[in-house]
Amino acid sequence: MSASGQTLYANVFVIAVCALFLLGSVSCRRTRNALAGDGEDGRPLASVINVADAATTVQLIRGFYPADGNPWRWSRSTFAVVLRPPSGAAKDGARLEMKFSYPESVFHREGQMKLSAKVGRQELPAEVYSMPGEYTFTRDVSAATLSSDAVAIEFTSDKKLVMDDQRELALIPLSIGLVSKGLGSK
Amino acid sequence: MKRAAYFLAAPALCIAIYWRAFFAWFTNDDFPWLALRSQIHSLHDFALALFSPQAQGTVRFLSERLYFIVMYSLFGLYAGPFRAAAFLVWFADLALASLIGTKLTRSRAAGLWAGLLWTSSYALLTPLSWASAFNQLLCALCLLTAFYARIRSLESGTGPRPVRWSVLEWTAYLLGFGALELTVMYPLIATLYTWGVAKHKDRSVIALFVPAAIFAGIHALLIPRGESDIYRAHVDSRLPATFLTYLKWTLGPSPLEDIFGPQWHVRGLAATWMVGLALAAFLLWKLRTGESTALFCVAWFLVFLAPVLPLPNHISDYYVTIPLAGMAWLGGWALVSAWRSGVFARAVAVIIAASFLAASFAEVDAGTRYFLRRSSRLRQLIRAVEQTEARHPGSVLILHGVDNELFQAGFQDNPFRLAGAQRVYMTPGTEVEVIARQDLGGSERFRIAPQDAAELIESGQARALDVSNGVPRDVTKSYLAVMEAVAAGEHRSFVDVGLARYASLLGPGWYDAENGYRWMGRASIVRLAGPEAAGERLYAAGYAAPSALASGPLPIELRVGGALIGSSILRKPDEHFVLDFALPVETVGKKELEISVTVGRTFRPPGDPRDLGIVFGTFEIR
Repeated sequence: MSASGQTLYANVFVIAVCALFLLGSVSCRRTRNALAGDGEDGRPLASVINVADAATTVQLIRGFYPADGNPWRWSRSTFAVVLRPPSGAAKDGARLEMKFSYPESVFHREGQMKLSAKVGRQELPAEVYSMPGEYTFTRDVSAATLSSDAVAIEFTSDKKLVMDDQRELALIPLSIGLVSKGLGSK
Repeated sequence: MKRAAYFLAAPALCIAIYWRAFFAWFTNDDFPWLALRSQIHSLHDFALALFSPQAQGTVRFLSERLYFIVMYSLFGLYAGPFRAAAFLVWFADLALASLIGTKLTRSRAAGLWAGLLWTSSYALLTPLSWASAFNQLLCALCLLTAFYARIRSLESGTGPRPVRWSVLEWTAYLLGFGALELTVMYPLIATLYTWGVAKHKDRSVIALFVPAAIFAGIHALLIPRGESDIYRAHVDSRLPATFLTYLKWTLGPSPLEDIFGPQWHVRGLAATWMVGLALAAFLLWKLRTGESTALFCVAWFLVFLAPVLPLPNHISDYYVTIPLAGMAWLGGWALVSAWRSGVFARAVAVIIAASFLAASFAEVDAGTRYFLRRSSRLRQLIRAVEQTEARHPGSVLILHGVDNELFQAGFQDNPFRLAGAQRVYMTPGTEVEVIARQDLGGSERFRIAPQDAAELIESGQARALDVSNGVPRDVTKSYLAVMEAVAAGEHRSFVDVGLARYASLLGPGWYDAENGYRWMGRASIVRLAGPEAAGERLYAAGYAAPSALASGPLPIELRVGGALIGSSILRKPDEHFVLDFALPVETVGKKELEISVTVGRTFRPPGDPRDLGIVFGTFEIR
């Protein structure tokens, strides 16, 4: 190999090294603020949540899959949220409303589905859905159950699909809320 | 200019298709290796860090130990320099592959195409995106350097081999043992080439077997095998299927359906078959004309693939990185030969090459997106943990919104220690929703009871981060209200093990629920709150399945916190039973009791891989 050829390769190599380390330093630059917002996000809990809303994910306790940019999420057969009872609920009780979709894919394989719910320690009557589609599950909740600042609500569907990747898909909850009695969902 | 293009074309293509890999962060096995540096406080520690067998009994002192220790010391948790090192080594691999391809085929174009084909493969995704697979790239560098030196040294004819090439070959070969165990196969390749392709009567090649034999002996006799079945060798009927899987991954885009859906299954398989048949036809043609070099290319593939074939439980695409070089030489040679063999052969070659490249690029694109997304999420989390620890030193961290992808990106490898966090938990219930490797300790270590979480936050000892949506948020205050509500709603004095809703109160040892019941293995754990008053008892109800009692009466013991509270013997098959035991007075008022159940034996039903003990329904304290 000629001397000029060797010089060329040496230069190419040095440039490649510099370029890669420059790129490396760009790729690993430290995020100035790794936490969203200036500090603690102390917003009060909501009484009604849209399940796909990023602002209220802290209230989705378990059983939900990531929204991945969609305006909805899949849930497992058991899923739970925490809601703040509406004002006056400790005296008058409230109404639990969950809007959800019973997907065709689950119905096609599993048939009719029974949905039950538990608010705090109060078991609510279950309901059977014999067709796929969008529904609102509505139940009255007693005042005694809603005496605290927040209450855990757990839903259980008796049907689910288990996917190849072991994900367990049951429902698509859209919104879950505790509303004052007399205020129906719109 | 042509020379520069010869060396730069493959790296340029690599950057064009793998550019996202450059920005990938650390995942999984990277974290134990990164933490190695913190264990070194003396020369003795350093020697241990370099040479003590770790992971599955490996001692890759160059490609894992020294690499991570030095890079972490210099750059900390900045992944960019790790990626830069990987790309640079890979570029050197490509240059050597092109040079060797040129020597083997006596065609610069074939050598160039070999580099282009090698770097186009989806198999490079993991080595280029994941620091822990750097060993593949470094080992390739050692093997190719040694082999290139051998080719050059044999060019001197039948006379004595030039010392400098021999020194280079031996140096690269010996260093290869510090990169990857695969290096033990090099003497065989060197011999095949020397005697079979170069037709050289060099007997010194036999000396290469000595280090390989010593290395293999040390590995076989002195290094203990791990307990995990994942890396255990099985020479059995699964071998052909394992080989076919690797062959499919090598030849073409057969995994297309995994990325784009089942509708791509046929197309991926068709392209793979096309490439396979074309290479087979080329090989036969070359053999008929007496070109043993073509067979050597296949031998390279087989020889370097052979050591991983007996690992049916750890079939990994990056294992074909080094074997693939042989097929890349053959493929490059076939392409150039076809190009020079008339319009028809040229058209066929173009169609096949275009199919392979187009599908590979699509696979690489999807794969690098996945690696980047997954590792970036973990990077965001670890940076947030670092920042939280800086603001609230020594805090316990409770992570909310952890999904399976994030968990599997490295939770079980404890990346949090590198960010200064010693105790990290997930929102109660999450531990049963993620899929955890049991050989890495499962997900139990991330479990915390809602009451405990609430108390830690209330006392200022814990912070809660919501990691559901991109950049983590400190949601400690809201989370306290959430945990208090969850704790208040729990029925901790009762567990129905057959219902999914109580799964968070079950520890290890349980199988999936069936028809309202749940089988346990030899031992299992249930967690309940302690009795509210003295005199309350534990009632455990189950079913004495005939199959469980087929070998005779079945002893059963229950313990609380390790202390025996009662034992019984199940004698009557096909009957429901209720065990009724008094609880020690010191358990009264305890937030949580760990109740362990042990049976005297297990059995395995025909066709069922599970070891079954007994069936339970409910546990209750009242």
